[in-house]
Amino acid sequence: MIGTFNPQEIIEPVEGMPWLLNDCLQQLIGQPFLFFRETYPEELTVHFGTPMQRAIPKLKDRPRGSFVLSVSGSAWHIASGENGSGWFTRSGVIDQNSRSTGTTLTVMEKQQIVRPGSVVIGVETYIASEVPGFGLIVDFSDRSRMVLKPTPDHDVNDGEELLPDWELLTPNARFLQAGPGLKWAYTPSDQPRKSLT
Amino acid sequence: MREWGEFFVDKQEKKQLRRIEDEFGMTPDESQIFRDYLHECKEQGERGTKNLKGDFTDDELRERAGECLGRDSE
Repeated sequence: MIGTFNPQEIIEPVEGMPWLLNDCLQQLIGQPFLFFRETYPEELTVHFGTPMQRAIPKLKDRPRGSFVLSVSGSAWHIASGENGSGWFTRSGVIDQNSRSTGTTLTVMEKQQIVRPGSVVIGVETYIASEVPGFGLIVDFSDRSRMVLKPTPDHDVNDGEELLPDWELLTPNARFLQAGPGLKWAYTPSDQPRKSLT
Repeated sequence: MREWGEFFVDKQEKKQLRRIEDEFGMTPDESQIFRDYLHECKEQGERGTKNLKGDFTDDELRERAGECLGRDSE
């Protein structure tokens, strides 16, 4: 349920206001999961909604979803509803006995970690404790769960822009950028993005 | 079990990419296309020379951005 939030609204950079950020995210509820996809440079994206073809010939076999979640500066875990004992991460599969099997994102794209056709039944932010910033929890109808957690940046040069913690492209020509820190914005996706650093 | 601390996120490559995207004044829509374009380049053997993984140098990213978007940096 979207409630009173208008997905075409624009929210200039703000700090905090997690309730409004959660309202903004409710447009993901009910959207079907499409696929995980690796993008450059070795970044996980999660595609939801309706598949959309690209005009560029090199991307003709690489459709995108109408919603695209990029993990950007966050660590991520995915608990598969199909295989509840496994938590998938950038490094591979984690369970209570082993840390990693070395699965790459490309291999992960082919695994049915989240059952295709599952829909988003819950999406919620939380304020991370170790690194100030908004984490994200997405629940799917096949009982899978994805959790994003902001991570520290240990190598920052003077004047360098910090990475957002995660980003969401929406079909309403809007772009949600969360982080760094507790700053976020929901702005047009067809205009150059604004620095939140 | 389910610890987070060991999962290091390498942010340098991502920051390099965003710097070049900003040089070209890319919108979020264009950035998403560009990142997929770069991934496809690598998948198709058009690798960069920055490291053994085939990542791209600044100049290579600028060249690819021009190809992908059909325009020069701002």
